[in-house]
This record gives sequence, C-alpha cells and structure tokens, in this order.
Amino acid sequence: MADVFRALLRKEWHEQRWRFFLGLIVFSGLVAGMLRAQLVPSNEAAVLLYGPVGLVFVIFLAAGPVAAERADRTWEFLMAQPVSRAEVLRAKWTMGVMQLAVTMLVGAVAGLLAIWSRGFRIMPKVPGSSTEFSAESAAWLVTHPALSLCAFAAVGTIALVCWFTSLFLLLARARNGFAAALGGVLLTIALLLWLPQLGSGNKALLVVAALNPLSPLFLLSSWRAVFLPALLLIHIVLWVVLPLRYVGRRRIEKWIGA
Amino acid sequence: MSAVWNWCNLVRKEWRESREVIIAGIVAFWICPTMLELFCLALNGGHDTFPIGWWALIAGGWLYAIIAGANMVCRDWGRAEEHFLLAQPVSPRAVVWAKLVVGAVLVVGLIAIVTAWEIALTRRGVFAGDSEINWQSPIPLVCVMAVSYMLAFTAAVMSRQMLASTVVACLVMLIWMVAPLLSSAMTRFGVLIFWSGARGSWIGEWLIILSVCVVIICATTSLLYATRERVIRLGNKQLAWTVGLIVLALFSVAMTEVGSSLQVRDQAELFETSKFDLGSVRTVQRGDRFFVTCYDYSHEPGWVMATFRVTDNGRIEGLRRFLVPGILPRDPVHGELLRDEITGLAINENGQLVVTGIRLHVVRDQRGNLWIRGPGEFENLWRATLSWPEGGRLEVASRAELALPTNEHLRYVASEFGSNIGSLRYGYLTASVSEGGLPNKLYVFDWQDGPNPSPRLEIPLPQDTSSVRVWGGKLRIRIQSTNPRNQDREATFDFDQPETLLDKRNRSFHSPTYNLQDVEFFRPGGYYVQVAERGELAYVSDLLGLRVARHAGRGHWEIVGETRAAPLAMLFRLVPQPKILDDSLLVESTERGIIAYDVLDPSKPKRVGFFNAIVPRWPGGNPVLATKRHLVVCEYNMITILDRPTNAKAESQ
Repeated sequence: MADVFRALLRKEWHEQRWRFFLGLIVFSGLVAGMLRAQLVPSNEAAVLLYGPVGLVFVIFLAAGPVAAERADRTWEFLMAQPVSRAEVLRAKWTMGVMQLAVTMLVGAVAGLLAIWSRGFRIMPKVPGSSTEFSAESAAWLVTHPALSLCAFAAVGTIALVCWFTSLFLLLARARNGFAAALGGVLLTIALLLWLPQLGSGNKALLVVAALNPLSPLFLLSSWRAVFLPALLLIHIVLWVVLPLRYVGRRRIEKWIGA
Repeated sequence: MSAVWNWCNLVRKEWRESREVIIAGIVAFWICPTMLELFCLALNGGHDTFPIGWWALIAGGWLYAIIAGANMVCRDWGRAEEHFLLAQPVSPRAVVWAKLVVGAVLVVGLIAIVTAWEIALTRRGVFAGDSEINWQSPIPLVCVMAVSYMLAFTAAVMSRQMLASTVVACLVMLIWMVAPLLSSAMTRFGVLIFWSGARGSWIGEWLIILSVCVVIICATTSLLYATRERVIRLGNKQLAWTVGLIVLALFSVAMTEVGSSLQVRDQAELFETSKFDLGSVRTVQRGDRFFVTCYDYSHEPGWVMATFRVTDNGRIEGLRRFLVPGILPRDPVHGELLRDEITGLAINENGQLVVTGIRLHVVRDQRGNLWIRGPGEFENLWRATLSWPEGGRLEVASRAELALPTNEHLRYVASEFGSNIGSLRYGYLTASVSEGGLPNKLYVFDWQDGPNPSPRLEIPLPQDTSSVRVWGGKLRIRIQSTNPRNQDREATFDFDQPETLLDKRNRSFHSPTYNLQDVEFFRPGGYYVQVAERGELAYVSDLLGLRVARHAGRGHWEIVGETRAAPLAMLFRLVPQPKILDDSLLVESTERGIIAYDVLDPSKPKRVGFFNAIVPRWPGGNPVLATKRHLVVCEYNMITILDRPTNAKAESQ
C-alpha cells in the first residue's frame, strides 16, 4: 500500500513540479525584493507576502492537480487503477502541502538573506503610528525583524495549509483549470471580504476568527496573540484533520464526482 | 469585382457573428452607465451627473478590446470552421483583413457612442454640467483600445488560442502601463501619466506616434501570418512562466527605483523615551562625534543632550545622555514662570558646543493652557558654551545673557527655521518705536563681550524696513514697496561681518533672490521648489527631480545639470529639502525618505542612493549628517548609520 502511495506521490511530483518551481522562484523573489527594499517594516511586509501573495500561490497550487486530470481526461484512467479515490486525493494533497511548505520555507530564508544583505533595520517609534502601537503590544515584531519574519512564516504556512486543504477539496469538482482558478479566486474573496462582514462584537469576531483560516496571520501583530496557539490548533483540526479524515466517505467522494 | 463582393460578404458574416461582442460592449459601457447616470440626474438637485460610462471605458475598455480582438479571430480561426472558410473562394488574408476591419469598427464605434453620449449629456443637453470631457479627450482612449485590440488580434492570429492571446495582450499592456512609471525616459509614452494630468503638451504626440506604429506593425504581422499554417502554440506552463517572470521583473525594477539601497550599519535609540518634542530636536557634529538635543517630556522633564561616536566600520559607540545644565525647565506647574528654549546648536572653533536660546515668559491659565506673555516677545537671548569631554560630564564652560537696551520694543532676528543661531559670534536684535511696529534700528551684540554683552553696534535701518531675517546663510534686510505694483526689495549681508552694515554704499537693494529663484526655477508639475546654495551653484529640488543652476549675474540663473525622477519615485519625493553635505554629496530629505546624489560634477548630478526613512521636517535640525564613510540619519528617536553611497564616497576620498 505504501508503494502505491509513493508511486502516486512520484506521479504528482512529475506533473506538478513546474508549479512548484514557478511558485518558488516568484514567491522567493517577491519576499526577497520586498524585504530588501525596506519600503515598509518587515512585519508589515511579511503580512502582505504571507497574506495576499501566499493566497495567490495557494489558488495556483490547489487549482491544478484534479482539474488538470479532468481536462486531460486522465482522471477516469486513474480511477480505473487499483487505488481508491481517497488515496489519490490524499497523495495530491500531500504533494501540494509539501510544495507549499517548502516554498514558504525557502521564501523565509530568502527574506532573511535579503534583510541581512541590507542590514537588520528597526523602524522608529513614530508617535501615533502603528509602530508605536506595536511598541506597546508586540514590540518584538519591530525590534527583531528576523524573528518576526520567522514567526510570520511559520504561522502563515499553517494558515495557508488550512486554506489549501479546503480549497483543494472544493476545487476537486472543477472540470478544467480555468474553472478551478476562477472558483478559487471567488472562494478566497468570499472568505476574505464577506466572512468578516458576518457580524460585529466579540462573539461574532470569535466565530469569524475560528472560521477564517487566515485569521492567525492578522492576530500575530495584536495583543490577542496570546490566543494564537489555541486558534492554530482549532484551525488545524477544523480545516485539515477533519476534511482529510472524512475524504474517503462516500458522500464526499460522490460530491467530488468521478 | 468578385473579390470585392466576396470580401463584403466576409465583412457581413463577421458583423453578424460579432453581435454578442457588440451587445456586451454596449450594455457594459453604455446602457448600464446611462441608466445609472439618469438615475443620478433624477436624484441630484443640481441636475448634473458623473460620466460613469466614460470612466468605465477608461477602466475596462482596454480589456474589452483585448477580448474582442482575441474572440474575433479564435471563434472560427484555428477550428474546424477555418477549413470550411478557406474552402470558399477567399484568401486567408482576405478573411483576416475582414475580421480586422470589423473588430476595429466595433471598438472605435463603441468609443464614439460612449463619448458622444457623455458629451451630449454633460455639455449639450438640458442637464449641462461641469465636465472636462471634450472632443480631444478620447484620443488616449482610442490609442489604448486600438493597441489592446491589435495586440490581442495579432496574438490570436499567431497562436489561434483565446486564452494565450488574451494573456499575452494583457501582459504587453501591463508593461506599457507600468514601464513609464519606472523610468523617466519612458514617461512620454505613459498612458496613466497622460490621464493623471502631470504631463507636458508634447507627451500626447509621442503616445499617438507609438500607438500608430504598434497598430501598423500588428496589422502587417497579422496579414503576413494569415497564410502560414504553422502556429505558435502556447501551453499553460509557458504562459504561467511568462506571467510569473514578467511580474517578478517589473517588481524588481520598481523596488530598485524606490527601495532602500543604502546599507544599514547600526541603529540605536537616542533617548530612553519617545515622549520628546520633535520640534525641539537640534543636531550638530564634530568630526565623527555627534550631538543631539531635544526637550524630553518624560518623568524628568528637561532639555536632554545625547552624544555618540560613529566608528570607521559604522558602529555607534559611546552613546551617553545628560540633562543640559543651567537651563530653566519648560513647563511651569502653575502660575507664571520663565523658561528657556534652545533654538540653536553649533560647534565653535575650540570644538566646544555652543547652545543658543531664548528666555520666554510663560503663563499657565486656569484651564491649564500655556501662553507666552506678549505675542512673539521674549525676555532675553542667552548663549552657553558647553564642554563635554570623552567619558566626562556635560558642563557649562561659560554663559552669557544680553544686556538689553531699555525702553525699546525688541525682536530677535530669526532664521528661516525660527532659530536665532545665525552667527556664532554675533547676535542681532531689531527695535521698533511701538509694539508691533516696523523695525527702525538694528542692534548687534558680540557674544565674546563678557557674560552680559551690551550692543556693539547700533545701526539705523532704512525707512520702510519690513523685516530683518537670516535666510540662506545671509542676513537680509527687506524694504517694503510703497507702490503695491512694485516688488519688495532686499539687501543681503554677511552676518559674521556686521561692520559692513554701517557703510550705506554696501546697501544695494534689489528684488529678493529667493523670490526670483521661486519664479525662475518653477516648472509645471514640479510643485514646491526648494533651493540649497553653495558658492555660485544652486541645487534646486522639486517633484520632478534635482537641477543644478549656476549664477549668471543680475539675479539670473542658468541650468547646468539635471537628473529627473521616475514617476514612481515621485511618490517618495514629497517636498524634497536639498542639503549639501560636502563637495560630492547632496541629500534630499523628504517625509518619505532620503535621496542621495553625487554632485561632484555639477553638470551630471547622479542619484546614488535612497533610504526609506521617516524623516520629519524638523524646524531647526539636520536630519541627515555625514562622515567620510557613513551617513547618519535621525528618525524621530532612532539614529541609523548608513553606508555612504559608493560613487560619492570614492570621489570624496
């Protein structure tokens, strides 16, 4: 069984490696360029890069694996092999997560090198600005740019893996790459723009934070960062463990379609 | 005759098949905006409206033209219908030509309809409003949409792929939009700059020339390629790589243009608290040792001075802070109090710190607000010489307060930043007959005349003297004109040689030079003109870049060198203040960073570095100082040591 899974992984690597290398080069280049240019403090740059740019990369990775098989008419051929649909999906998910994690890791290393090449810079505390606010709440983000980048990379990777898992399973239904990419963009916009509008107040914010897999990224720079480990745990269970556990169930398989 | 008839039939076919595209364009850019505009008109009491259709066309017209161009070809070309078409008595070139013409008519027709409607609605109709749209306005729009259409059409003929031709055309348009923002040399071709209004009259011509060239090249390529059976197939991988690498390249160029390029060597917080008065910060340097003073509001309020040394490898060493001794505190707890304000900080020939200040009479009212008694008045001027040996304490070496003439209404002579530091040796006061009246006398004090110097010179000022001030390193006496049509006149003196003021032959009054500079150096789009002078040269900074001017006599200047800023870099040039640090280096400090120029050759000033610092406009401080190897930048409470730009460093050494 392990051999079959390894073979599936190898197949996925051969098919998806161009996405990995393209994403790796573009993401690392953007991270390094942004942090070397020092246009904004490194913690703000990290939010931008592991937020919107990371989301584009997640859509890029999630839209490819199944939709391309369907478009090339190889999905049916794959299903005719002696492997279950759940195994195929798990292999594709594993390869996607590995590519995502390695890209984020290499991006962080590139960012650290870029910061080091220009000298580690601390932003001044401007009265009334976000840097002064962070001086009171999470001063280490400003005073330790390398550490803050590593923290954002770690939290960002977990948040993006959570969203990748959901998106990957949702987009598995798409018939071609274009439809999958469009669906990914729409779902991500819905998550980022519509979900926060659900309500105001502490309870609503808690619900939104629990439902939004990207909320840890924005929590890191606020005083609520103390809740971060609990939130990350909730997200991993809610967005990764549960979907993968039930991916083999007939109802989900039926929804994904053969 | 038969060929013409066949071509007309092709045109008719293309026109019929383009109905969906036409309907989509009309609905998106005319009908929907028209309904919204009429809705606005009905609700708006002023009966004027916003040209929604026009702006929709500007925002999305180029994309519509791209999709229309790609669709025009790919709906049958490259499919089974292509072979059916070519089986007819028509040549491939005739088919492509018919598609090209129909698509062009469609795009131009849409622009014409929308423009005519908007002009009719906002200018000619009963709801005439104040609109900037005229018959010349569509020219850049036609250029952009024509180029978009032709690029997509040509890409579609060459690839026969809808997605590929759309993506390729979008990429080329992205480069066309972004490239002029990244290079001042390409500004003339910029579409966004054309619409932003920051343009000269000649830019439009270049835009039209470029567009016509692209249209001709694309049309020729399409017709030549129509007969070729081999097409250039672009797969998803190639397209994705192309998009990714082009985005990365544009981003890299943009970051190179506006990103920080100076290496950070060391940083330190000057004061233990960020609760200090930014306007009170003064800086001075003695070789590689720096002194900064400011008013600290923290638990122990008072004037604080910090000193540090910058080593050869750019490290900050020996950072120490002390309360400046012998200075009255600033804020009275209650009632009335005298307080000292440090207005100038300098180093004398003995290497001692010279602190100059004013003594004010402050009153706190019942609501807790502080008032200075007598608007603009002061109690006295004082000067303290401080010694601060390495490793020692900050001590007062000497202190002097002026012995002011009695029964006079006195004012101190302020510099452009409100400081009274003007000269290291002399202090200047003006006297007037009545409070707030015009000055009629100038008192000159020599700070070296003991602890209470009396006036060394008493110089009667010309009648109608409106002000005496220090600006641009000179003492300036200004006479107001009695005739409102004439300009005020001004005489300038060296403030370290007050004797020259006594000789009336030295008083040659002429138009104020800084007003002349403002007029002479102003250019459209440059906005604020800031000048730094050194000898015969003036370094003029404005939004568009740095110019070097040489004095050509009689208040006239000739531009001898210039470096223009790229449009993207203009975002980081808010009111640039030039400051000449030495023969080879000039620094512009703006609210969004500092820009370093190599000015060793005045005819070729060169931008050699940028640092994205938060440099506030300090009233009397120098936010950027330099050593032979490093730049020292003061950002609020933070001191940052940067590498001096390579070119300027090499030349200066």
